[in-house]
Amino acid sequence: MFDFVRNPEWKSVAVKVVALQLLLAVSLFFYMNHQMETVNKALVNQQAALMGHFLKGDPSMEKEVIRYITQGAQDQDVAEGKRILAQYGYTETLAIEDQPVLAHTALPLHTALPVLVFTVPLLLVLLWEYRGVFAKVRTISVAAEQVVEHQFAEPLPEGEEGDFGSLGRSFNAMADRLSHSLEQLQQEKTFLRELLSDISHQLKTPLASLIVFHEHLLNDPKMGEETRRTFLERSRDQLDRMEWLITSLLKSARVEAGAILYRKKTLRLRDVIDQVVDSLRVPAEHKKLTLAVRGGEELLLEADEEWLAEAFINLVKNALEHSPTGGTIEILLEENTLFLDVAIRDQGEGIPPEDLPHIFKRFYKGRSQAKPQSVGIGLSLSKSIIEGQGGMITVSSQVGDGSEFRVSFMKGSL
Amino acid sequence: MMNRYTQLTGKYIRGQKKRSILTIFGIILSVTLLTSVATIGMSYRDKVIRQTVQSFGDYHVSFNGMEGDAVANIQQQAAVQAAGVISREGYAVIQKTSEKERSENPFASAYRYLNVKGYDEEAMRMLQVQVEEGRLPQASDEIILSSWGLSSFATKPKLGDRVSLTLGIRKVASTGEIRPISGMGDFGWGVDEAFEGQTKREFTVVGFMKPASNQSWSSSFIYPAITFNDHKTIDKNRTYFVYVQMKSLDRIKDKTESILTSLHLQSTEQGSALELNRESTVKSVRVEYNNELLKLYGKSTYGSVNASTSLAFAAIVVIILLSTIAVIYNTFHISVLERMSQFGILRCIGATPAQIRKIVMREAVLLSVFGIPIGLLLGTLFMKALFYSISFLSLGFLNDMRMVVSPLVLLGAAALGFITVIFSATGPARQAASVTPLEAVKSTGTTKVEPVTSVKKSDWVKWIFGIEGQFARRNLQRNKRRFRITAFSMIISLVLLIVFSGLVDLLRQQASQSGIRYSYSLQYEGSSKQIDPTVFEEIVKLDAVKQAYPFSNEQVMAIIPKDKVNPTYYELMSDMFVVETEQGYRMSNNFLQSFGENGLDDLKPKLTSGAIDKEQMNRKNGVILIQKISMMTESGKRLILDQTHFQVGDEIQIRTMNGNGQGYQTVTVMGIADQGPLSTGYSESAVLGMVTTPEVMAKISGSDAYSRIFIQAKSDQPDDSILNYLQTLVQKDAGYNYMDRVSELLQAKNDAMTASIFFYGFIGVIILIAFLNIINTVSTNLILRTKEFAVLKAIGMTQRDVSKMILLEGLFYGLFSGISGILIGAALSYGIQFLYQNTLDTAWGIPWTSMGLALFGALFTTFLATMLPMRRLNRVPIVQALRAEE
Amino acid sequence: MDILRTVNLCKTYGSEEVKVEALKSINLSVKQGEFVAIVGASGSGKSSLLHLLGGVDRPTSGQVILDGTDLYSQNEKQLALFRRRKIGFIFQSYNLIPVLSAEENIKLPMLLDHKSVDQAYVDEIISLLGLKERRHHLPAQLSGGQQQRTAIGRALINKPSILLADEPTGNLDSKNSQEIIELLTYSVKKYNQTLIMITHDREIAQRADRAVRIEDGLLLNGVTG
Repeated sequence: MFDFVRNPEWKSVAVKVVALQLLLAVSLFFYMNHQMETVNKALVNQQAALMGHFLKGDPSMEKEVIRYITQGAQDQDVAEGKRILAQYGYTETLAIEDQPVLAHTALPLHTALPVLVFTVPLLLVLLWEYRGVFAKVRTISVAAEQVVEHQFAEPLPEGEEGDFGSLGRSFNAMADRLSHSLEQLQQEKTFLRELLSDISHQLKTPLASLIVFHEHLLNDPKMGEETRRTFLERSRDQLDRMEWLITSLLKSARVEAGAILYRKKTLRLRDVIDQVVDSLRVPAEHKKLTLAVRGGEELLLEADEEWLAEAFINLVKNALEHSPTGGTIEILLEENTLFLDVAIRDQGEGIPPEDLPHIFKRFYKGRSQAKPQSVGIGLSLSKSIIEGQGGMITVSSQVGDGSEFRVSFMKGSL
Repeated sequence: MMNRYTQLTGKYIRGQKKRSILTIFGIILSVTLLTSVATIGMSYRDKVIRQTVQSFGDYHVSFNGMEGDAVANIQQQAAVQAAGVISREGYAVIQKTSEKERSENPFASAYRYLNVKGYDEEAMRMLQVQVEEGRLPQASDEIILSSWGLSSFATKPKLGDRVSLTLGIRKVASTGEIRPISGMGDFGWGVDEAFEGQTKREFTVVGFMKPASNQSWSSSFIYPAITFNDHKTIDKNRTYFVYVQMKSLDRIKDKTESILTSLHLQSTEQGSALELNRESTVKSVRVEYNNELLKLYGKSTYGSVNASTSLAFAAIVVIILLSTIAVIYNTFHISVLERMSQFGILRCIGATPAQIRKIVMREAVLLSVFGIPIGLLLGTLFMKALFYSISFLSLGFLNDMRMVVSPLVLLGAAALGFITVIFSATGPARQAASVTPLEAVKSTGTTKVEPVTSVKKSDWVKWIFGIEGQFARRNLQRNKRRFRITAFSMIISLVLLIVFSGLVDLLRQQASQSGIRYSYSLQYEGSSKQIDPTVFEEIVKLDAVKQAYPFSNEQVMAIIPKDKVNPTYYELMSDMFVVETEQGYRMSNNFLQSFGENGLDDLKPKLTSGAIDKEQMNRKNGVILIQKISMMTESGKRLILDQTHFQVGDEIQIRTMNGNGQGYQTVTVMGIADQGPLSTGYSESAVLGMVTTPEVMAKISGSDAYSRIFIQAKSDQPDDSILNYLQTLVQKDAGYNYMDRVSELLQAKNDAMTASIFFYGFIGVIILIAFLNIINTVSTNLILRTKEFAVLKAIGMTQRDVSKMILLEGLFYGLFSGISGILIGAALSYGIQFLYQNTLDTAWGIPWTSMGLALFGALFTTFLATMLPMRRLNRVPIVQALRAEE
Repeated sequence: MDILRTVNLCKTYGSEEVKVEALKSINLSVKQGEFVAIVGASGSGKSSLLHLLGGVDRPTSGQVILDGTDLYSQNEKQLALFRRRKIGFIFQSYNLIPVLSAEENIKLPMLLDHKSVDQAYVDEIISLLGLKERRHHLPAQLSGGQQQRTAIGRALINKPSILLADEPTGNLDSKNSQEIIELLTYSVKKYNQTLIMITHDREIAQRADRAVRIEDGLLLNGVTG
């Protein structure tokens, strides 16, 4: 509730005000003491005058009267004295300035004045403190203006304790977020440009071939049936490739742009993997490869079945491509407290360390690329799909021993 | 649910229950100690004030022998709160001394007088006038008489009787001059007495006065009587005594002197008041300060006494505070050291040093919140129990001690305890805050082995204790900080013990001022000055009598060799050493005493050196010398010192005063005692006492007669059979005179018992604190090193080797701390005594006993503190210990 | 954008004869969101480097610039606040506060910052860590993996921009190691944080975006495994 006392601003004010009040209390104490001495003196003088006059007339009364001066009076005597004095208007309601003893002290005024005068340093302290506070407010508004101008270079001080510190922190976080969004916008632009250039680059080659084939077919009516057929077949190959490219690129673009709506439902992970393995049975047999799936009978996952299968197909396909004939591809389904893992291990040539960080980049071809026709879009697409559904993919590899791709999904993923 | 980081403190407290309980225990003990000390102090002061009021009167300053004019002036002074006035109304003769008595007692007065004094109400209150029966006088025709003088009246007055008295003045019969009267006139008569009656007054007897406990002998001829006199009208011819309570006690001397100035009595003699009803020679005009009472308010007119009292008290409080600070600091320090790596973690995850400090300080605050109320409660309960047992002892006594539970004391103890805890926690908190985050990431365990830079070869240790001993010694050298903490804590405990037992001794000496060990004394003042031995035999035969001592006392001249005189004493009393002879000073204030056969037996346990062998004493003129006295100097300082430095075997030349022709004889000092056989306090008069056998007494004085018998009754209560016997004796022969000191004896006994309970209770608490503190530190030290010991076992030391090493380590700790502790303790105890010397000065002796006990206790406790955790350590399997992380 | 940069960072221990140069002029830059593994033999200086990056130790010379701030130009208190808000530490030996429950350990940095506890966020982190059922257990009642997850939660709670992990799996079996690494990679991705991790495990180093090797106090950039 009183958390604000942590603020250095409050601490500073509090210390100064307390110090000032202490000063005031001490000086008032001494001042009042001094004043009381004056009143005491006046009182003694008054009593002395009274006694002097009274006893000059009747010295015999001294013994009786002195007691009232030195030891204090008794009630009935006070009452009697009051009755007599009242006849002269000398009562307890007598105005202080009419009271001869107190006439020259002006104690109330002399007390009130310094207290009043004391507001000056108090005000100065408050002024000084507020000045500091407002200076900070001004810094914030300057910083806000800078952010409006897209200048993020100078953050607000956030090292302090207290509310200004946390305001600074939140402000900086806000500015960070803003600059991050701007950066992301920039990145998306770059991505689009790169995508366009990738697509055009990838499509240009088959297109050029097609154009050449068509030119030949059109301009060479005497072309033998055999040759024509070859050309047409080549054209079909190029068209197939283009179709595949376009589909993949579109998929990839849609996935990466977040334009896919994943229809998530609860799946048995094993079913998905089995289905993937089934669909790749033919090429695997073609290469005499064994596909071994282990574990995961119990594992359930929230995901879009089709897309997930797509991602795994790409990964397994990649493994197929890199596996030597007669090898084995292991697909392990595992779980731990937090994650469901699918590990895909091949016995291929492995990935050199310098390539490792890049293999998920679109169209990336390692230096020792053995398969010229692979365009390096599958892994990238898989990664996009998996990450799009809240999973992640990592790879580890040992050159000569093969690679392991590991797909992990957070259990009960958000 | 945790909402702020400071709640971590509470978690720590709950998480480390054992350590927290130990810390709370330390706090509780400290606060208990503070509360107890303060309560004892307050109650003791309360008791002493009441006692002092009882025996010295409840006034601050008295103006004696004032003229009538001055009375009203003093009463009405602005500085005066209340004033009681006493006047001497006059003497009345109640009996003419019989011829028979006068012949038997050559010092007897011609008359027995009644000394009638007029008190006003205030005076009766201030001078503690109390009646045994009836009530105090309230009118000028009412009178109270002294109960012990009633039998001297022609007809013994009863309550309500009218007595008619002729008041008058006493004169010297031979010259006819008015006899000068000293003070209030209750004391002093001459052989040459005449009386002149002046006025005849009638009084109603309304009560009988209690005899004062310190009644003097001379009251057998002058009996006080008190009537009421409001002193509204002042008789200019009378002398007045005005007892005054001031409005404030500050600068009481200045105020009194300004009163004197206004009375034109600037050069009046001033001094300290004696006990009430003590015989004193007061000159006509004298001002007396009730310094015994003023001293208790710290306002004595002797500046040095005030300063000394408050200084010594402050020193005690400071020592208590320092030791509690040490104890609490220690527990905190250990608990912080244990958690160093955790504070490092906190620093790693971004706690600022200030936050760490706050966590530790909060721990201190929280523990205080638990500990202080319990400490206050325990301290109060502890005191309640103590007071209960005391009230049980002195049942039915007026002078018992009442427990003063002052909120101020509780508040003060709580505040002091709190400040102590905060103060103690500051250092460890700062240390915790200064931990670098690196410490957390680098070492995970708490056992940080400091680099060994130099290890002294200690061949002797190896030679005596073997390799384990060397190991133990190196362990101490290796971790200097831990060694310092542990040793420091033990040293503090020992210092506390020695200082307090020294203090208790000091207080005991001061408290044991009055002390008699007999119930009745019978004296014969008849012409023969000799009690018939049959009387002694009859007394011994009485069932109620436990012991009787025939007492003979002979004042003797003695030659004291110059080198035997205590130089300090010589400085103080140089005017006593005036007659120089060749062999030394000739002194006359020496008494050769014999308490009969059994008197010497009673002296045996009091001997400080020498031995009592009656046969040898008879042969060699042996005496037991009592040379220690307690005296008050002019500056109000109490000294307890030896007058001379005689030793066993020394010979002293003495000769009787009436010198029955024998000249000097030689006596041999065969033993030294501090107190006489029938006294429990030091002698207060500057006399050298020589106790000897009746035979030696007879040899030297030439007579085996005795004129006094001390009687020790079996019971503490007044006994009629003894009293009856003594009374019949007095009736038979007026030369007999007896004193009843039963009540005084009982009171002295109770006082001694009370003192013992207090002192031993106190020492008990101190020992408990010291003991726990040592146990705590030493065992923590060991438990912290569980892992280290496991390592040693893992590399092949046997259980026995490790145990031996640990025990030896404990032994070294005990030796080191024990020796340092007792040295520092002795030094401090000397310091306290030094501070006290303006109120009470006794020769400081090295406290061998408590030092020895402390050293032995330290070794024993370390042994115990080592054994306990070692058994636990031995049970832990090596592997588990190795893995252990705090 | 470089979130972290060191400039000629040097660290020397001891003095005179027993002088040990733990780090010799290290220049390292790490981008936001990057996962950097530091590998090297024990005693190579990798721990010293991590401590310097985290503002736990002070360098002999050189600078560490984190999020635009020169760490060691700050005083002790500012440095502490910096650690609290910008840096999350994860240790091999977990280093939890033994008297606090898992949840309280996780919340501690938040509490140190005097922030009112964002319970929703705490719950999110706790369920992310799979500690829902164990949140009220004391560290001593948790398994190694659970303790390390708690420690990760503590490192994540203030949303620091950089996580520093010193062999976080050093005391764990392979299954728990797997889990911890996945968790770290996952959370780094989720909260767009930077992770710098010391590891001996080659496989773990490969999962990093980049691995740097320290040898005899010198940095060998970009070398993996």
